[in-house]
Amino acid sequence: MTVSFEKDIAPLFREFRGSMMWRLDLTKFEDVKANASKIYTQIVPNLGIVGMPPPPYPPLTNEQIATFKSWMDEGFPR
Amino acid sequence: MAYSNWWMYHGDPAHAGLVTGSRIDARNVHTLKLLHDIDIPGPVLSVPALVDGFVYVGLANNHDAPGANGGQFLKINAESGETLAKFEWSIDPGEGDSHGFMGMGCTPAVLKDTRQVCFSAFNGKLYCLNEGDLSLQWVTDLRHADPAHNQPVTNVAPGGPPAAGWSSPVVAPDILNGCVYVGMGEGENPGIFGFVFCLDMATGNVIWVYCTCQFAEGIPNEPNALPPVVVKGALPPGFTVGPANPAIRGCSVWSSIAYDDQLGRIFCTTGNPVPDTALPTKGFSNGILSLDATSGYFRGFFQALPESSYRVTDVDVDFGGSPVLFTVNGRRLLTAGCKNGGLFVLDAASMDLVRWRQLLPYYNDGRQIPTVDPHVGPNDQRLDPLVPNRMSDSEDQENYSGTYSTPAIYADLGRIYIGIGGNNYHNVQAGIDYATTPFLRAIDWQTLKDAWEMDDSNPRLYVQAQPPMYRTPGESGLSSPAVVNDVVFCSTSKVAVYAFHAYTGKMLWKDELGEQTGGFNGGYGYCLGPAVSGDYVVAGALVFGRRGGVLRIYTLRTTPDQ
Repeated sequence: MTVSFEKDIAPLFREFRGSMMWRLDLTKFEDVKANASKIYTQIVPNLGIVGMPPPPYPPLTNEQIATFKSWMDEGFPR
Repeated sequence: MAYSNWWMYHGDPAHAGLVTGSRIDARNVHTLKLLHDIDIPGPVLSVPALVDGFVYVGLANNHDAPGANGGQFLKINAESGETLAKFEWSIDPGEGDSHGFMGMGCTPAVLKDTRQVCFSAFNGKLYCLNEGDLSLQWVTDLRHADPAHNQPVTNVAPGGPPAAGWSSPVVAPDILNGCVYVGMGEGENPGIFGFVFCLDMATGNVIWVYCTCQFAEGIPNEPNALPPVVVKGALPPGFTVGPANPAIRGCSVWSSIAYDDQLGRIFCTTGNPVPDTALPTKGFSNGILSLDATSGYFRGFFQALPESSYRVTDVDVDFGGSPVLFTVNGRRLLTAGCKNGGLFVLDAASMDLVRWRQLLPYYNDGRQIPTVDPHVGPNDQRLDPLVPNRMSDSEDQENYSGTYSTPAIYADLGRIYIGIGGNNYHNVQAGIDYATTPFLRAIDWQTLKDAWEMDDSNPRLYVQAQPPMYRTPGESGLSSPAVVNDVVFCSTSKVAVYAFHAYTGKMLWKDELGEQTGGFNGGYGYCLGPAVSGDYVVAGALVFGRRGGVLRIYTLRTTPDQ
């Protein structure tokens, strides 16, 4: 099943929107597409480096990260 | 008395943060009212410039740029709030700084005589615009070689971010018909060198370059001597290479260079070297470098003393703020604060240390306070963990709660004011031990002792400065104060801006600009300090929500006699 920004990606990031507005709008298609690879490296757990979202938020689940990767791999469907 | 313009970082080339000719004082500062809350499309990570009633300010990111990847520079009429001109640029996401900033984070230099405005940006470029309409006059690339501007340095390396421009340009109108000085480097990339550039203000052509990474221990670098690895093509006349790359990298000039027209010298604070250790460190790192303003020749260097670190295990020491020049009894002095918590006063001519103090508090018997500068283990993910002194003193770690602030000088009273505290890294570090540490210190410039009344608690606290001091977790003075008559303005990471009575520390006025972001990446929530000129106070910030930024203009509500 195809992943879409409106259905799958924007809801994933909505609760973090206000905290990240200094950088970009995490619910805006153009911003997330343009910075997708940077975002991906931030949300993938990296031992010893605090990823996004930071504590006390729980990290994204493997399933959520896979969804974001699928969205990238499928050419950023809107 | 004519009012002083805030025409470059911390007011002028000496960076004293002292405002003259303003009607704002301790009697009327409470009447400051919000004149405009400007809707800006990104955060402000700098102190604006304020010249003849016009605000010049840059954004650290720009929501109006494609993908929010770029910067924006604005000229705003302070009285009307109208944006008169804009200059925008877009960059590739990989071209920004290591913390996610794509625009700019410095105070511009505004030159009335030549109608120019100059600023550096996170893409490693130095821009010069027409002050009137913000049209581009010249732009010089200080990250990649720019042969058209006599610029031979390519300062990039794999495995980390490229060199970026955090340093606010300082202009010396009387040197070689007008020069601009700026630092360029990157401390988070082990392959990057630090440089000081001197450019012709008329053309943007490089006049000289000084590498802040020492080629050979004990021997000052020559100007225009470049590490071989940064030279990718033919060298312009006057430059030399090598003979070898310096053994260390880093030593970045993060903040604005200060210029002294009496000595004809510039003064640059530097960051940590790579590889890094606790003090002492190699090369021109973690110190203050003095160069001849005309030729770039070495004139002296001072490194923060090992005993000045709050803990012997403090690493990544850095001077984050700028040097400040002032005169006491005819002697030209220099002061700067260090991330290890040390505040130093030097003789500006000899670079000899006159005196120093630790800004972070100790218990009254001289013992360290465990909650000040705690060194948390790399795998400790607890929020605000309690770490005993013996553990902190054995674990190398950055001192997150020293000072990043540029001091302000109140000559009439003989006082130095400086902010304390750093970023709120949350689980790593709160940036300040708020219950024991004031986010602003007032210091006698002769003794370096606290100048505001203190109580008898352990540790001693300022009496009249609370509230707001010692009350809000994580509220740090990661900003640079400004002195206006008998008032000292200071902004914090709350995010708030305050006015204190310069004599007593009593809070006289405040405004809350917004909230912190919750520790997301590099955007924690900052106001790096107000700009003041005439009756206007201007403050910008990075905050939660909105479009990430806020810019407010205040003015006196009453006539001076009311």
